[in-house]
Amino acid sequence: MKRVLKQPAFWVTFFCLVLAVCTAVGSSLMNPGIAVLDKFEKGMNKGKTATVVSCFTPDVQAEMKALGELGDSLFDITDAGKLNILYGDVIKDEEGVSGVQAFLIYNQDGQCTEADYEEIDLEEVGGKVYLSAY
Amino acid sequence: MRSTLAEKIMHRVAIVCGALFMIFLMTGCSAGSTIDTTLVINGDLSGTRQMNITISDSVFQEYFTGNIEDFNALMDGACPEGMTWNYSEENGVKQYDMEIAFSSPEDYKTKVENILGVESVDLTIAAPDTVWASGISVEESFNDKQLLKWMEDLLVNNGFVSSSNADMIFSVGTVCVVYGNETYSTGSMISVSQVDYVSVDAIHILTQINELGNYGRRVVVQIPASSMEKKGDEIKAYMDSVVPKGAKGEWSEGDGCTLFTVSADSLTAEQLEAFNRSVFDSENCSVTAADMSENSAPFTFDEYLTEHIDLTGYLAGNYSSIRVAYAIKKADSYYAYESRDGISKGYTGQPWEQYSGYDLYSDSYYYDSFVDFSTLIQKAYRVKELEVKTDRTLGGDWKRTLTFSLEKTPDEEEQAAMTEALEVRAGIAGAEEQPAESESAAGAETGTETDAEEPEKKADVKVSGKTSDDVYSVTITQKGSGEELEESSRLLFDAKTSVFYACDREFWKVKKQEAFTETLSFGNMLEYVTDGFQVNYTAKLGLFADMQYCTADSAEVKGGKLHATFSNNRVNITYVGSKIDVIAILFWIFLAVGVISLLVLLVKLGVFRKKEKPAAPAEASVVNAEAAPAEQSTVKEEAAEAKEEKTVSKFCEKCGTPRPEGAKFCEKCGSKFED
Repeated sequence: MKRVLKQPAFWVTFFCLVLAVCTAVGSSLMNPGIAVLDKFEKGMNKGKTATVVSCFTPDVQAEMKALGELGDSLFDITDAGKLNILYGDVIKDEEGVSGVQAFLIYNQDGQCTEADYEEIDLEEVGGKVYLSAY
Repeated sequence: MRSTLAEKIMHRVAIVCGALFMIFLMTGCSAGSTIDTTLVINGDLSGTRQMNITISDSVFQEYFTGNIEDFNALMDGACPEGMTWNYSEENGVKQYDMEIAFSSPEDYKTKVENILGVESVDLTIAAPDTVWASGISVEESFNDKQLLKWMEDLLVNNGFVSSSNADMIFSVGTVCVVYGNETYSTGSMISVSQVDYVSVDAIHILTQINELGNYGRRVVVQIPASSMEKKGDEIKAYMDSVVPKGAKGEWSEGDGCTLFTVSADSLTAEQLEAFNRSVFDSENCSVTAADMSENSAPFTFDEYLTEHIDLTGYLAGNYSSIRVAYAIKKADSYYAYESRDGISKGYTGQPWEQYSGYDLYSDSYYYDSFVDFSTLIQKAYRVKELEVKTDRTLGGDWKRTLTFSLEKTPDEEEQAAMTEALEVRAGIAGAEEQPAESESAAGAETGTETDAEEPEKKADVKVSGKTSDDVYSVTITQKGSGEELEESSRLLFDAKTSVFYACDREFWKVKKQEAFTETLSFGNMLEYVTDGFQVNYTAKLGLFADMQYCTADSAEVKGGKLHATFSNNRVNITYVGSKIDVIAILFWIFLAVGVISLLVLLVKLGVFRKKEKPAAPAEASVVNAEAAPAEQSTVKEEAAEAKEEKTVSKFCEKCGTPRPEGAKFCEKCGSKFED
């Protein structure tokens, strides 16, 4: 072990890997994700209705189920490209999480073709964050 | 036939005579007393209204019940304020002299309103004595019976006269107005108009705004030919006499009229007032000029000019009217609006062909004795360019720099006022914090950095001004979070603004998609801009930025910055692009170097060394042991040798011949030993 510790390569390896981990952790902590938005984005891009529906609050989910199948039209916007949601920090009020400012970006071949900026309504139900409006 | 005609004539005569007799009876028996009124008006419009009530003895005996002394005792307490009374009796005729004395028409009006117990009565007394009008004009909307109603009530309520005879207590006798040496008879409600006037077609009041607080004034009086024919010499003498000192009076001929122009080029508000008083021949003319800049935009200086002009020199009560037009000529960068309060902006006038450069604001016939003009004058430093620079720091905060370049350079006092106005808006300097404010104002040239108004949302705001290449520009720097900037802009511009940024969150992505949006309005900061004004917008983007989408048509990315121009006095931009993330690059560099170092380490540790290679030292150890069997080495020494053998080879690497200790070359093949 002493032989290993005496090797300069060991210390270079150690510090580089530590810095890489710190960079990754720090970057992640600085930009915490919102799971429901990531899930919604994935659901939309993969065309999975169940995933998309599960992003909404239980009340909205019940309404959606009552309305029946959402149909393929839901995924029209992601047929030709991909939806990328860029968002900021969650907005909180007295009742908890209330929304998030976000860009809804429609990409085709990795290039943005359309972008909308809006505040997405969120709601916290039983400690879980959901999209509160369809 | 003839008798029939005669009968008809007789019948008609009888009807007429009967009617006349009835009228005689009615007038003769309708009232117990007669009121004769004389309104005396003096030259200064003070005067008295005398009402003499005469009651004959027979009437008194017939209708009056009780004692006259008792009634007079009640009169003392009942006579209303403003009226006096006196009782006399001669040859059985009883007389009450009632009087209202007044010092002015206003005083008279107040007293009458008090006697009648009403809020307002119509009462006009005018006695113009000018070249345009002379004589007396009196109009009243009440009569003596109304003024003496209190006395009638006193008689009836106290049983001196039966209530059935109440209506017959007073009857109006003669009513006359005395002014100077003339006496004018009138009806029960006084209405006298004995004004001799010559008309004036119009008066044009022209104001030239040289600068705030400095005005040129021209008054043009249009006198019709008929008036000039009637009183030409008198009019000329009069008009020449009203020209104030320092002003110029000129006669000229117009289309069917004679024009007299009085003009002065440079007047302060006080001098303008004196000018008006002289020209309109009345002390009841006033001019005020109030600084209203605190209500205006920082690059604008406001003045509220109000003029009250008495036209009585040209009017006689309600018996004449005059056309008065008001026009304004503004110096460059000046604006004028009709305004009731010095804040609101009303009519801005329209070009008046008759006077080049003047805008007509008002042109009406005036029947009142005065006219008021209220104008909000603005001196505006037009903005010729606005540069907006938005940077986002690594920590996520924003730095926005707004540079307003002005068309003209304000003087030092105005520069300080602009900076101070912006600081007050931003909450850096408060109007109520005078001591602190003065310090802030003093430091305005170099910029003062303090917190904005809201304690919980504080953006650092800095305001400064400088002149560069003969262009004066005011720079506002805002630093803080998006919310703090929003609040700061609300205070500064009284407008809603927003800025928001987001980018991909996956830390390992070197090429990230980023987006931001910014909306800016500047309220009244850009109320006055030059032709071709535009907002030059710059936003700092990420490393190796590549624009994919932008709402601004003029947008382009150059040198890592987004450039766009806006011509509609506001900024509204949404950008989407890609950038290279330095942190992601660092992550990958650290990871790559770490992995490579790890491999090197493993190689050095011999993890990847072939198994045959360690054979040479082992063999050498055996041979060495055989070559020196005589040596009685200790185990320790062997270990030391073994260690040495790892670094110094004991055999020739080419031919394998054993290498004697200290030999530099192989004894067999002659190869040089490396170590």
